[in-house]
Amino acid sequence: MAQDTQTADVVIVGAGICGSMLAHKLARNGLSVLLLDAGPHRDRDQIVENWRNMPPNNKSLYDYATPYPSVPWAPHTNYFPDNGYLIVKGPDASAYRQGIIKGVGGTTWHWAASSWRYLPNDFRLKSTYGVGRDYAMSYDELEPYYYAAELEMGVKGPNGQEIIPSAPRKNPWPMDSMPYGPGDRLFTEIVKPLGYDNTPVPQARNSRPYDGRPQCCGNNNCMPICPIGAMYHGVYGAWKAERHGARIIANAVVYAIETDAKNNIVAMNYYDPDKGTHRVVARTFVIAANGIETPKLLLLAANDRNPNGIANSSDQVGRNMMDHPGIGMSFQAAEPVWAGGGSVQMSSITNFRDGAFRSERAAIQIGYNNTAQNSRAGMKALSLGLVGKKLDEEIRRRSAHGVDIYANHEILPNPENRLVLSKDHRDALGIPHPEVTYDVGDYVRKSAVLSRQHLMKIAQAMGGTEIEMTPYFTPNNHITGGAIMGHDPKDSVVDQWLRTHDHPNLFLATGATMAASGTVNSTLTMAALSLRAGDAILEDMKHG
Amino acid sequence: MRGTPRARGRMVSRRNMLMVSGASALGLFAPSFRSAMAQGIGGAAGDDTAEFVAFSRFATGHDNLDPLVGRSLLAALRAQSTAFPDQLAALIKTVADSKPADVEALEESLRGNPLHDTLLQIIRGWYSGVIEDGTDAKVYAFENALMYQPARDVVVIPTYAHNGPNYWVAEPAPVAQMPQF
Ligand SMILES: Cc1cc2nc3c(=O)[nH]c(=O)nc-3n(C[C@H](O)[C@H](O)[C@H](O)COP(=O)(O)OP(=O)(O)OC[C@H]3O[C@@H](n4cnc5c(N)ncnc54)[C@H](O)[C@@H]3O)c2cc1C
Ligand code: SF4
Repeated sequence: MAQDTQTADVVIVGAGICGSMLAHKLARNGLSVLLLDAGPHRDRDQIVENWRNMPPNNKSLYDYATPYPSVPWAPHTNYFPDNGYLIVKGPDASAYRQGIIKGVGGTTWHWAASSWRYLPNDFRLKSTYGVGRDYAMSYDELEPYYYAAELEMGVKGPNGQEIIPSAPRKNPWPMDSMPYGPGDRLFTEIVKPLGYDNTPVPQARNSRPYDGRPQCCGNNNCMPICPIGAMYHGVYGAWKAERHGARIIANAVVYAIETDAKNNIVAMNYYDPDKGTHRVVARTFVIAANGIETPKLLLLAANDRNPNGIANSSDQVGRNMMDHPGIGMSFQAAEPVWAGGGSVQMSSITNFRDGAFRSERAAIQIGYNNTAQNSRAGMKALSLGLVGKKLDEEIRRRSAHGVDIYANHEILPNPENRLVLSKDHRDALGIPHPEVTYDVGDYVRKSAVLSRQHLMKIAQAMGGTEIEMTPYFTPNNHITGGAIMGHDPKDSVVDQWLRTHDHPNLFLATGATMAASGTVNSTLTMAALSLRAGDAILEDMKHG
Repeated sequence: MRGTPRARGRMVSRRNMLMVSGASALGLFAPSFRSAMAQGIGGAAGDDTAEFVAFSRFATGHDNLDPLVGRSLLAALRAQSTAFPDQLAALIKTVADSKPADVEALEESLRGNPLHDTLLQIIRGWYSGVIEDGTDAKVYAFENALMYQPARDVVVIPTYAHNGPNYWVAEPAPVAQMPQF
């Protein structure tokens, strides 16, 4: 049985951006908070060193996972080569090869920090367009929390610029956008006459010194690590929580959940790396273990009273797995573009985020990827067997002319897109790996036909040669849906405060609760939802 | 602006800053550490390295090669293949005998000859910093790998700041204007 028991007002499982920001909010408001993370503490300098010491081929293929070594007691995904952690099946299996990181700070250690608000219609897809599902709250109800999250993360955005469609704001972005580099400037200019509005992406990165962190100096390394901390990641929330008295326990893998006769959560159990067991007791529990690990844990922790899994009386845990199925394109432009000035994602085309067409096909976001092309240019030129001046010229030419663009699609929640516990793969602690079956569906496929045309039109306008387009859908790491929200406990897992319908003192602070994927990167919405759940938790505490 | 001594000076100081805040305090001492090693390389133990670096200058067309990187690459190439020392000697002899104008001429003359592979292997080592494929390949050079130099006046070497904030608003240099390296 358990060797020791620790207590707190609130136990939070997962020190990623959602868990950490929530921990900070609760600790700041006087609660005692225990933050458990399955993975280790991670050290920025070491990650920078790991990346520098990675083979150039990995760099050229955008391998962002290898600098973050996976630990046997808390494995995470790595596809260089595929370590087999996340098992994917179904017609679009390749589109669910998601990146996640375990460790204090979580997956945002290597995100790109694009920090969008969803549109009001994303929250009411079903009522407006008759497809998908509605959120359990409106955009207006989330608006103040969006702003709180933006302030906390330090989001810069296109203040003063009118962009249609846009999410309505009561306050300006905390910082103004930084200027585009040559790539985003040229791209914007070229697509304009084609009818595309390429506009600044709101980003959680400093366009001026902010909150004790420096201004972005454009070393274009946001994925996999910002070497100077100009980009926000979850770890800053965790550190702030700690400064307000929260306790963080790393390498604590929660695997079991105890419930009482009223189905309140009484305790959780975690393993340390040697499989020693520990017990934590609290008044309120939060699982913030990301869109894959949250449903996995809920299923894993099934007990006598909850034989299908915790919070799963609706059978919706692990269902409706969503992301933004993508199409990637690369080519050599006629004019020099010089990708790499500024951060890795500065702008995108937002014209197709909303519209009546959404009753039939997915909304999309088209974007220009500003990741420097030099690693790829070098490896490509070498593979051509060039030497001497020709080799140098080819590297320079490809660094200047290489272009990557993409189209990302909204997807509808489909209960058949499902995460289950693997029957035949277990990690070092004996915990089953997650297994996801994925089919993007006709809503996406219909839209993808047009997306391919958009991308081709842009490539042609840029005088593209060596045009390559992924024939399959790519993953985008925006993991949503697996513990979906709704008003009806029969067909949803959490309510509008992210409180589980089944367990009054269990909240899920994760993108898994999101009821529609929208088109844009989803983490700001996850963070806002988590902060909103924080108000419900604080309210509960007031009333004992 | 770009490439002027002032801009370069700024770049270097930024890099030092990065090292202080970043990886290791050892980075601070790198220059003196390096030159001491380079002197050591001139001595008896370093003769092979000196020869390898001298040939590599011809093979890459670049004079400014780091002897420390040369020493590691040479050791690695030898460890990878026992035939390497002989192949290197044969390449050096070919250059001495046939006096090709440059590496392009040498490369052309070696097509179909097994030494062609050795030549390209040496070039790939200096350009990419690795001599093997695969995720586990050991990296012998990163920021001074030659593949990062042809565009280094415009494009950052990953993790190294190029210049101060908003440096990227400047117009990039023409593609035809190859930086010296
Ligand atoms: C390469 C890449 C780029 C991205 N770029 C963007 C972007 O630009 N914009 C955007 O919006 N999103 C982006 N994302 C997505 C973003 O990173 C995620 O949405 C975000 O990290 C989710 O936050 P989270 O707190 O829910 O989960 P995570 O950050 O994954 O944190 C969850 C934590 O829970 C812990 N945990 C899991 N299981 C357990 C357990 N059983 N016990 C204890 N702890 C556990 C994990 O160790 C982990 O630290 C990107 C993702 C990737 C991979
Ligand atoms: S561009 Fe560089 S400094 Fe700016 S956020 Fe990205 S990695 Fe950090």
